[in-house]
Amino acid sequence: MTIYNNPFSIDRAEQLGDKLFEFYSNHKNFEGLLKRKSLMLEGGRGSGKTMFFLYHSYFNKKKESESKNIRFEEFFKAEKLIGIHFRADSNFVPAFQHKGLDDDDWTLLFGHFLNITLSKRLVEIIIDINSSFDSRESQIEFDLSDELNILFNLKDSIDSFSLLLKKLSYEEILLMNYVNNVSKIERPIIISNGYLLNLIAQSILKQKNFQEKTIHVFIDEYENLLLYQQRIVNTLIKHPNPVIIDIGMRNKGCKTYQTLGDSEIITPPHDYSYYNFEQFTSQEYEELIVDICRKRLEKIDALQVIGDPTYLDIRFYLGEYNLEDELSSFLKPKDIKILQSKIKARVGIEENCSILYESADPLILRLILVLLERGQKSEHIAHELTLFLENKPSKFNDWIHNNKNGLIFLLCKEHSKNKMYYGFNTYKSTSSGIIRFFLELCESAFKNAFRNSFEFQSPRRLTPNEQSEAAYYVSQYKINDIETYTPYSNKLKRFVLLLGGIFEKLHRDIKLSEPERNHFSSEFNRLDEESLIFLKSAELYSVLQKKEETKVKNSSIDGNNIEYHLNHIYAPYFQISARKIRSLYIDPGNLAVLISGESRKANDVANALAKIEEINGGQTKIDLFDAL
Amino acid sequence: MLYNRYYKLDSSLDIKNIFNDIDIFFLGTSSEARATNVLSLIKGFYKNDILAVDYDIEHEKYSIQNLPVDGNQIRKNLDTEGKDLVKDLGIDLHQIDINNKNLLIDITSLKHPFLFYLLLLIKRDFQPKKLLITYTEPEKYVQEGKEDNARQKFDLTEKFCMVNSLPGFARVSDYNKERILIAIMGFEGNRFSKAFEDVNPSDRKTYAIVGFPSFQPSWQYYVYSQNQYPLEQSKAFSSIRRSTANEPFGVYNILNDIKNQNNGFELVVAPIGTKPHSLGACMFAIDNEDVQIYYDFPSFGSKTRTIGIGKSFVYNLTDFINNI
Repeated sequence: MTIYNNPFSIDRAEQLGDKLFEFYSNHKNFEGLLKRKSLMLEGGRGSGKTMFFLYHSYFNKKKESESKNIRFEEFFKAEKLIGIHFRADSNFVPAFQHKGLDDDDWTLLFGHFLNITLSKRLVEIIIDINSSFDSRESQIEFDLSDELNILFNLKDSIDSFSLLLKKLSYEEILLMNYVNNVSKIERPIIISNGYLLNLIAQSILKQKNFQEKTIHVFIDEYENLLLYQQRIVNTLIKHPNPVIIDIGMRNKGCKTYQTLGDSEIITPPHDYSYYNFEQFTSQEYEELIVDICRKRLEKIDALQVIGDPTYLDIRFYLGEYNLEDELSSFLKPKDIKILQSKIKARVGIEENCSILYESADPLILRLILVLLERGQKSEHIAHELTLFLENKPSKFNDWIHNNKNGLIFLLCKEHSKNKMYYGFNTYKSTSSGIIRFFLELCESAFKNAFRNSFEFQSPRRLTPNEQSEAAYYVSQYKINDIETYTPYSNKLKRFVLLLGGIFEKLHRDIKLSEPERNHFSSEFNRLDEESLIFLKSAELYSVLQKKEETKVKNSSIDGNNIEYHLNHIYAPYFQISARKIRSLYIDPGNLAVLISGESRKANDVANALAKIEEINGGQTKIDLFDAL
Repeated sequence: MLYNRYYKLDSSLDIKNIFNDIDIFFLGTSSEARATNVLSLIKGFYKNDILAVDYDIEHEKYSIQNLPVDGNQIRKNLDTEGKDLVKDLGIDLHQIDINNKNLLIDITSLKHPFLFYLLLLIKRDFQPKKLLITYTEPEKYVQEGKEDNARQKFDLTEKFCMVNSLPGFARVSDYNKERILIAIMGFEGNRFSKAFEDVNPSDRKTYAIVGFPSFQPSWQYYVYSQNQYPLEQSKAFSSIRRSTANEPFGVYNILNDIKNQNNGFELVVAPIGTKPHSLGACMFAIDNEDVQIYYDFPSFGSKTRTIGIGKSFVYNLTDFINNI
């Protein structure tokens, strides 16, 4: 087996360890996001939120400066922000519920936990700063003894940060013992929400070296927090004193904007600024992924030896999709003859229409059949084709432009050929704006290439097959993953299979009435509450991505001017387009049935929505029971 | 190191002799045929208390009811009538008075959170004289689609509840340590994927345990095929360990070995495989308070997941609960 080092095999920030800063790509859009006000960061799993937070946390920034041989004093002087990363672990935070205690109890207990754990992390940083400064005058003085004595009702005074750290660790154990044994263990002393953390922060920020600095706590995976826990954090956002809380979450991960005060909410821009990691323009997203990939490729020894920047650009390896190449990969001369014969059979042997079956271009031939299916007159098509072939203004230009990508899906189906997904732009659109998906596609494509003896000593473009197989592989397991997206799991998977099945069938429409349909609109304001919650959950996991409508139609019909895109990472699985082209309108009643209707009824709705004519004249039915 | 102390309950064993001195018998409630197999085996001679346990994962509530040997349990609405696991189970066990008694727990249909917490309490807060655990394999699992389908899939989970910490096992993660994930694999590869996604272990620090020998010949291949993606994704292919699917001691010892080989890392164990393997993970987590348990709370709903009755086993955990 070839030993290789796949530069894309790590796609999670947590796996980068001490080297995280080497992989961080600081896009211009990120500049100024961390201010003296809280930040709410949204984005799908793998869109880069954790990377952003971890990079800005104190210990990673320090490691970066050490790698550049910058003296600690200089690093600390330049660094205006002390960042603390806290991950709301889905395996931990829900422990603060039930167990015979009421919501008020848990609010106090979780607020206390946050106080303890965040204070602990801040104190660890303070201890590290003190140990890193050469001179004693620069060190942070401990002046919290009196307050801590009162807070913890202490007999022996705490007089140093290291003793405070020990005390905090002890308090954490006490608290967890209580949570695990509420009936047996005495409740620990509770400190009010944020009080201890802010007390320590106030103490250090007034000291000489800290006066220009801000302390930020990055609460990652905020969506995992229970509703009452989010209210606790929201309160800290509303009242920064002085610690600034930044939160990162998946789309729609905020369960409430309320604080612990019943009539108080957090709102932008007063309380926080908002940024979504999936809202890059196409150009910005391209810049970002190219830069991220470059940082990874730079680590390859063989490429360093070659020293040619061409090989550090992922676009070199992925190349560009070429429609003609794909067609020629499976169409044989006899297939062209078959297409010509079909046209001849349709239009007869009229002399002025012979041009329609004289072309050897399969795309033109297949388009002519589509146009005939749509009821266009053969003479009219022949006339436009003549102009087109003479490079004169012609409707045929528009017809080709609007249908060529749809035609290839049709031709692939008719020749029982899997559609190919390759090329940088295809990977870019298939990744749906989620960086991790792009890296996973690259990882899998390079893995396939390594199996075909690829080596970085003599870099080459990855073949269409290597890339397409990777796209199918990643798409398949992303479909499988849906079952684990709680709370809707199998219901969500069923919906995706039905929706994908509809789009798949629409791609086989021999009239190509509306090619490449892969997203839908509806009158969402007429949708029932349960379905809206379901759609929100689908957004949370980026199974569906909400976007502005491609073409705003009559708002009285479509209502809300938004569309839901089936994440394009599923496109290869269903063999549908990964481009954002056309949308399908689904009546809210039908959408509700697709979401939660009885299986047979949902099947019927799916089949009705996908009702198109196929080349064999029949209808291939979507069968949920086969799909699941 | 735990020594294997388990036996297959078949005609070569004197079953009466093994269970004759049992004072209290706990068993779960389920409509599966195998759930009452041990009860059937002992009902001819067993005259003491039988306590039927029902548990609601979502609300962490339970009920324990006395069950006549041949009687049927009345199902309670646990949301409104159930007791809180962490608050009340210790009190109930005191009332049942399990100290100095010989206990038998059939874990075949006992839900994970209840099993984990019950065993934790027994070891930490009580001193029973003896603890035997029984488990009955299914003859087969319900499959999706047609049986001749080459890509047949076992139909086990209706939905997943939200990930949560197991009651009694909420442990603060040491954020300064890198994480190791140990997935005890079962038939549902997506559960491994989810664990990998949620736990975020360090690079090349995922171990996988497969049940081998498995309940039925060749089932281990099915486990591999269903877990192929997470095995590749986590690069755990080179770190697969094998342990007999129908007993807990092998898994305990493997976990112990992994822990000893990885000082400085935080272990996160995902018991998503066979029930005896989960028992092994439970025993290990009780003995190691610095170990995290990841559990995804599958809900079987009204599904009957298994068909028929396979082999039954008894495990002697008396030494385990007495070792401090």
